[in-house]
Amino acid sequence: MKLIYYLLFVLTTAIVLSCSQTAEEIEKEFINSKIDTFEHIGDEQWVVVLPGLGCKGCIQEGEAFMVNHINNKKVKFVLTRVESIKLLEQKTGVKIKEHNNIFIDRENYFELSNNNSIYPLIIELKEKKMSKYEFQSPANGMAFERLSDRLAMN
Amino acid sequence: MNSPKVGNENFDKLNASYKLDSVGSRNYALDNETAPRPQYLHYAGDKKNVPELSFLNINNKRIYIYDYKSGQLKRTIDLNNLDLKGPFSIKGYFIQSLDSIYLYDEIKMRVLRINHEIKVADSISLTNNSDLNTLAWTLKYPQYQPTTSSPFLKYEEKLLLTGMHPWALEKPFLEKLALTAKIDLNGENPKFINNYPSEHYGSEYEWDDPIFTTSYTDQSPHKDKLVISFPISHHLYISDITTGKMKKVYAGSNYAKGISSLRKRDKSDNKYREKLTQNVIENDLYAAVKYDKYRNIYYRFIRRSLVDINKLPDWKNKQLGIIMMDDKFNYLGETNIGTLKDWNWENSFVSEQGLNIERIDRKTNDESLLQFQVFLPKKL
Repeated sequence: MKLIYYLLFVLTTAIVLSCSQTAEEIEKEFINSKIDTFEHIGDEQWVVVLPGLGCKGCIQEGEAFMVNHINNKKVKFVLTRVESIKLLEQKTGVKIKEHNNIFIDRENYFELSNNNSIYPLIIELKEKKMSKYEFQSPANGMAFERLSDRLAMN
Repeated sequence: MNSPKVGNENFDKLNASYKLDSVGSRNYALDNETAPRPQYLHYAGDKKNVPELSFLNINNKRIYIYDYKSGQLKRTIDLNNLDLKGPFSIKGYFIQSLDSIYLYDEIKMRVLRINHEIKVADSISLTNNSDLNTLAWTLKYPQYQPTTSSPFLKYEEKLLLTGMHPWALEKPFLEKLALTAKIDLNGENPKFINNYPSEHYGSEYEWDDPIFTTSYTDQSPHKDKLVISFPISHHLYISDITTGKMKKVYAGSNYAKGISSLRKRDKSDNKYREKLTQNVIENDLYAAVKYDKYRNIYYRFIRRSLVDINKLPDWKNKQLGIIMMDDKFNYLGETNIGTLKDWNWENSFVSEQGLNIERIDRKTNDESLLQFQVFLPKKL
């Protein structure tokens, strides 16, 4: 069945309305500021933000990526808007609390304020600053595959 | 240009004589496959010696049935092996007896009746077997997201299930799309009653999201009446189940101001989502309605506006209020019980003990228990 309310209302945390900036600029600035003030980054080179609600297929890709790379210390996983850790553990087989490269974002610190909040977010870091980012979305369906390739090369 | 607004005729004019008091709690131990906040939960206390609380775990496709008073798990019903061809996704249920359980299958938008062997005895389409791969049916039939606050209700030999149209509906379709399916248990095709009220929908307002269009229902003390709460109306709508005629009664909050909608959506507006979120935060939005037959009181939930959004930008910081009215909808009072972060208000039901609301344990994030707080009205 084609459920036309497939993407149900996903309210966002932060309200950022500005007349002078484009949506892309606001988004970039938001992610930049979040990375700058995020205290849980060590030697990781990527931060992967996985929302618990949103684009189902995209999130499943993200969860599969987490399962495959859970022991890779170059990646920090941030789980935001998670409904249940218990169910996520059951679904993925990953014991969330046993991995210190997983951060459970209970206060929705990383939640975006725009339509992209429903997609997993991949942030590349350079010296603990954001250098690039992209979303795994229906329009950009190879993002995790590209990251897997890069991790394999590193 | 001002945004269209649904005014509250009794703002700051109502006098309270009751408040809502917390009188106790109830906990139900969950197995290691089940998390709190199940989407669909049902309290059955009417004709049973032992009142039961049941819920659906949509992940492992099981219905769990507990003794409401002792909190002991009595049995589970495993729906994994339904004898159906193709995929199915059960999202709601009604237990008439263990030999007659009705299930809502979201994939094919149908109601299934299963017997004690978990065999499918009946299948009733809620779209008159429309082709679900086209979208034409979406302007003729509602979509359902059964929850504890939009549940199956039983009336005589019928089950009632009220749905919604998730997005803004243009005026010509208001009369064509009725929200409540009357599902004949004797096998006739469902009939549909109850349209969106035209004074609020399909007009100058832009209610273009399920948060504005979801309907919440309960049965009134007059069994042939259905009470419907729409998020953006200060009124409740009382539907005659037999004729489908609706009348409205005032059932608003003393503290709710006008509810503003966004202006008609400019499709090129790339900040629409942010504006929508801001609109939800700034406005009062009504929610579930529950009738308490033990005390002859209606409870209506409201998610209050957040005035200072700079300090509290998270919409889940909205306060959850509960308005009390007598069985004639006379205002009795209202009480705020906390924020949307503290309460999974959609899982609320009335038992002899009071109004039960699922509590979210934010301090411990303990997922081993399903926890309820019980409330009773208290004279001021």
